[in-house]
Amino acid sequence: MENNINDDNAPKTCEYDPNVNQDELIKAQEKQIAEEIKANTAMVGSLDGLSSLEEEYSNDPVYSSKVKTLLPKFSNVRRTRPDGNCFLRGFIFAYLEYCIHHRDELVRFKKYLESSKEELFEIGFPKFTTEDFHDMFMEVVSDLEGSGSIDRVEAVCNDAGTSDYLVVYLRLLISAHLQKNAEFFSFFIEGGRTVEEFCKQEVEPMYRECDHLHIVALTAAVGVGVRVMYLDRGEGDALVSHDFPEDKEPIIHLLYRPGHYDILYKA
Amino acid sequence: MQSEVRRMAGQATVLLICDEPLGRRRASGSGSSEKHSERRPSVMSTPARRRLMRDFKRLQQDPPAGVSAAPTENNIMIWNAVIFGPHDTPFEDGTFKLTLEFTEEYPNKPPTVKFVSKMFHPNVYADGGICLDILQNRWSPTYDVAAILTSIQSLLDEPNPNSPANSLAAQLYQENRREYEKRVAAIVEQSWLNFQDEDEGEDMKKDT
Repeated sequence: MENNINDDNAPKTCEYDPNVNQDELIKAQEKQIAEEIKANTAMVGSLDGLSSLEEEYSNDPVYSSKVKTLLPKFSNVRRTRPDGNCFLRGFIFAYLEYCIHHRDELVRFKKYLESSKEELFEIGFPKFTTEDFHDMFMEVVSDLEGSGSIDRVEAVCNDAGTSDYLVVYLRLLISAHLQKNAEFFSFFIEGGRTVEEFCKQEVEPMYRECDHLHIVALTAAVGVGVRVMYLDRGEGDALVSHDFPEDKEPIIHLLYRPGHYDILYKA
Repeated sequence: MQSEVRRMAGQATVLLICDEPLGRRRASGSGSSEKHSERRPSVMSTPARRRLMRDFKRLQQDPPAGVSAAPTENNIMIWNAVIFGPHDTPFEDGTFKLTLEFTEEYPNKPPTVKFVSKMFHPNVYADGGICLDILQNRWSPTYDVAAILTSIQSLLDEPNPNSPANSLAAQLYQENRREYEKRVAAIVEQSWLNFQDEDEGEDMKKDT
């Protein structure tokens, strides 16, 4: 979105050639785009003033007047990489940051994580690989218990291996929650798919964007309140906000712009 | 035939364990004093390589039926694998060789898997590339090498004629099953030839 993706060099594949493996071509092009995003943005960026958002929209009256309404309530923004994992990356960064300042929550989260492994096995995730992601998460949390600092959270969330493993595990938690409550969630799934199919296609694979359903499931599963501020071209000056779950005091604030989530900091 | 193939895969494995200490990461679960340095990946131990060592260890400890795989001797990112044609299918007795090519993004992204042995199948391209959802848009990081290979093995007898990579195979599968099975029988026989060549090479080495 905020990246200028230059796809002038993308292979031209207009004509169908039966001898060419089309899947490979598509994969190659997707890879090229992903590489460019990766080169241009950190997984979780540094703390910026909200004025950086104003500057971004200085030529856009609708957005800039909306950003102004954010100013009294929020002071800072932290941008995440727009790679389809932005919601989850933003969530885990903001949550771990909250946890290092609220030790009770860190203890509670660790207990939850510990017990979540068995739940995932019950749903039928393969033990061998699931354990790997779980162990990595436990390691990160245990480490934060000891030396918890914001530098550590920044390092963990920007180390490709660790950060992606955390994202994978959150995806498994979402999938498990949706499948455990399949009867309820089946009403919200489009395209005649079962909840299990939806999870296989839209939840478990990496780089798949999170939608309402993902957010509802994750916040319910982990028991953490998230407030999303929607910055779009909708009517009015004020931003629409939504709390997940609705009855929980939010501890994480995210800024949504169509297709992307960043982290917001309260003033 | 099958035991020979397994033996061959087994030989490749021994070489690898010796020069690869990375697989021990977290294996024992304790060792808190080393923990910090263990977690930080060195140049050699990237997340992808670490995970591949785990996959490999699991394949040895708990080998799934009818498939076998090992990294190549000097590059853990490239694996050779063998899939045995499932029983009671036209592919029975086939010993099909494949290569798996991983990137540093594994397990976030799937490897590129290709048949090296000649294949005749609705979902396999002429170059050996495989059209299988879990290797593309339904990939999940929870799949490991064993899961990939067993999925391909099931694909052999459960083709998806709706997304044909080999239109002739797809057409024969739907319209002329006898001819389809004849073609499959031919590539099953061809799959043995590869192994005979190598077995002869092995035997000669042993004689000297």
